[in-house]
Amino acid sequence: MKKQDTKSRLSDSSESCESPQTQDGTQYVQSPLSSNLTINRQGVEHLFADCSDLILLPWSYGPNLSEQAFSVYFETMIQHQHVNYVKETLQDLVSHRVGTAESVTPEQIIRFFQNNGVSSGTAELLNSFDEVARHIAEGCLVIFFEKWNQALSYKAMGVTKRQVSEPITEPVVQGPHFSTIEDLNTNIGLIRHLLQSPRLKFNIFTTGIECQRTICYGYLDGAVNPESLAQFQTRIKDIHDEEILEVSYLEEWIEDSVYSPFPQVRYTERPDSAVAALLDGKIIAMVNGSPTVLICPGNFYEFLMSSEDYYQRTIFSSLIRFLRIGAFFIALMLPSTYVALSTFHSELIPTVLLLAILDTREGIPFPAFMEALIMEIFFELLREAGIRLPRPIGSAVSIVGALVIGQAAIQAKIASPVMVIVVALTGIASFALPQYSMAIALRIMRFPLMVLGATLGGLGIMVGFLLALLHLCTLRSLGQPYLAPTAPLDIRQLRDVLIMVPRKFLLRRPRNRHMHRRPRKRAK
Amino acid sequence: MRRRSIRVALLLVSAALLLSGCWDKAELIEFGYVQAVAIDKSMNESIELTTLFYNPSGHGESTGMTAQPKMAIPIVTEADSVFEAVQDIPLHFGRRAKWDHMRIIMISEELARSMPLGEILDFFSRNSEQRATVLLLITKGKAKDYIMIKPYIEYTIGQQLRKIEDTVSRYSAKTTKLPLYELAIQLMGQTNTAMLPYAYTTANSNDIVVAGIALFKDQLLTGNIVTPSDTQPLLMLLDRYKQGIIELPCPATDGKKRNVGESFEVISTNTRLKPKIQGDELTIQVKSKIKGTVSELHCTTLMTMDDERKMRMRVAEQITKEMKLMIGRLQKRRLDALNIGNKIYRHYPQLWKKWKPSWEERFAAAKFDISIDVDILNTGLNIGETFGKKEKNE
Repeated sequence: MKKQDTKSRLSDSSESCESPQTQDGTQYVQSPLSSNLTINRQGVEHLFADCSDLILLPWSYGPNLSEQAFSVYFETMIQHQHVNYVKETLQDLVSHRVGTAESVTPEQIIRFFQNNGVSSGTAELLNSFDEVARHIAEGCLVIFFEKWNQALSYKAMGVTKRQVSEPITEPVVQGPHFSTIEDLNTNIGLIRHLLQSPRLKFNIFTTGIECQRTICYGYLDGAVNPESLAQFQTRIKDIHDEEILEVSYLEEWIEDSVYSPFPQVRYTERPDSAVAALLDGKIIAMVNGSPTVLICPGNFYEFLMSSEDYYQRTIFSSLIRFLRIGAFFIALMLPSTYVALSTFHSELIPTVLLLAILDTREGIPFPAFMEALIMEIFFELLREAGIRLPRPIGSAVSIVGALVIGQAAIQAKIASPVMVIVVALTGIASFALPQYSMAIALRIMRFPLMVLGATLGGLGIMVGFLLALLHLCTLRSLGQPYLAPTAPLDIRQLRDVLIMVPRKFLLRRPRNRHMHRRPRKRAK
Repeated sequence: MRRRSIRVALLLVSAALLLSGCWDKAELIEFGYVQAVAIDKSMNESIELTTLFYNPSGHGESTGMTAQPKMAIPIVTEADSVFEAVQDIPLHFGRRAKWDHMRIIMISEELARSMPLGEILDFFSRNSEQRATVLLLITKGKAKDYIMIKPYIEYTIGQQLRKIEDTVSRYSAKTTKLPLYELAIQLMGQTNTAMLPYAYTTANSNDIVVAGIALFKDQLLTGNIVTPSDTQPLLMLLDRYKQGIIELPCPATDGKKRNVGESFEVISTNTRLKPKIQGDELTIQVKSKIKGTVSELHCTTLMTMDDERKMRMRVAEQITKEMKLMIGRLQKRRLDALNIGNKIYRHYPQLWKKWKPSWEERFAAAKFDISIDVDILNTGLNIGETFGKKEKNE
């Protein structure tokens, strides 16, 4: 094989495939491939005009190198290995069936593929420019032969991917230490590896026009609630041409109430959490290119749980859950309660505490509500700044923040130390919630509650809390009540809500009724 | 649907704005927090009100170099009624008084003898801000002087006095703890008697002692104050006794000193007064069950069952003696501080109607039948011998 290097590179480093001359390309899109190599070549060049990382490699083969062919691929996406699928198949072809490389004729090649189909699972025959374009964009290597109106496509995708590593957002002390990655197939593999059952189903489809993102949802047949699954399927069907870049895009299709502050789906990057959710009858969804696994339908109490609860001793897990419920209320209501107590109900504060608060409040120019608002906004700013900044600068922010909020604001008499304690405690409590999305919900709810606390006092907080409770009671996630099993009450299911009964009893019967009371394998 | 929800939201927002209690909102720093109140009789026979406000900037993080300002600010106002005097506070102070955290109300003995309690305390019982659990205290001399005294540890003298009243009534029964609501109950009784704890200063005038009980009749302080040593039987008879110490004089045998006493620590008491009526004769059965431990032994040994029985007898005798003394005094004063009248009113309402006009005389003539059951729980960590004495049997 003789290579004729006709690679031409533009100095422009942009590797964008969006061609300004798409009109030229569109005429080829629907048309079938020609048996004329030149026309095919022109078609491909039009399709991928201005894509300077596209390699078009013409070569000759056959007796006296008289036959022409060319291969097309993106240099940036291809495996740069000495032995790859293409080479393997071609060698296979040459040595076993067709003869030596010098004597191969196009007719032989065509006959071989037409009679035998594609011998290797990694190769495909393409018929139209549409397919060719898609395959090249997906990172395939496509070979065109003279006198053949089909093209051979080999999967040769080789983009570097992250290693399966420690979960960053959900670290645990005890339990598995591996997380999902951006590659969908790896993720499905990880989950299948943990749940080796033919009843574990995965449905894969693609959406989007340009991105062609692969979306996958899975469930454990027999465990999943059929109604929820049907709901999920009808909702996900609406996605056709939308460019889904991250799995959280799906959330808005799946959830029942888009404007609710409360999250109705849960995310994890732990395969063990995903498997536990599957066993609980949840549906999981993943998108290629995102390491996050979406779990639905969401349930309020799941947001107060961590996968580590199940790996720790039962008593400890139960105590930790009580702590989290405390953290939930602190994160939601502490600033508003403080504002209400100090502006309306000073008689409810124990005398000695009141005197201590008075000592710190004297000389602060702002009303308690303004003070709380200022400090909360300070804190939100700091948090936002700390998250978005690159890590080395991030620590500088926390130092400045600690000094500004902790020290200078008090000395400058902008805020009282008690308020700093209140705000700090609120922040810590919201960090103590294992699910970030629930902490965000509480951050949203905190401010209206503060306004209510400052205008109507304890009554306002009660009204706000009742409204939130009403909302939670009416909220559904994929048709399932959000506050289950407390509303509607199901005493049998309460064994894994506030307190966690020993796993021996927890796992003996499946936690959802759709598993037909079949004992789990793990419980044996 | 959407329109309706918008309308509902608008309604809620406007309701929140219109109905909100914004005008009730007040920052902590808009008020002065009353810690204690002293009510005296002024020079020109009107009421002198001394209100002690907490001074928030009074301490906190002091650098040690600057002198600490006062922790509390006394404001003196004078008027014909308590409420008028209260109204005048902002004239001196600038801030409105907040009564929520008032710890104690002190009334001078002089005022309590001349002005009915109802008149003095009407404002405080009517005011919604202040708690019904605020404690009351009668002071020897001017109450104002007590409020000026610097506290030892507590933030304000109000807190210190409250603590004293609380602790003393709980552990040593030298006085009783009397919140405002209990006084109200007493004043509503049929016998028209009431009692309040009493405070006086020692020679070192910065030292306040709360001990003794002031007895009221028809809302006025009458007669002598019940001295701290006499309060125990009174509180026992009223079943308000919690813990305390009974002093037992050593039997004056062999040449030992007379004033050596042994003591018996009472841990719990339960006293029942039961009026028995036979015709015109009134006998009151006093049944008391006392549990306690021996806390000091000097002249007796407690080694055998017999010893223990003797000890129990001694304690019972001592208590009976003290009770009888107390009852005698009350009968002499014709003051039914034991609330026997209330008991008769409750059990025999018809009879009470007849007896009420002559109740004082009937009370003075009533007979008391005292029976006391003492239970010695232990002798502390030691056996029933005086410390340092060797056991004879071994």
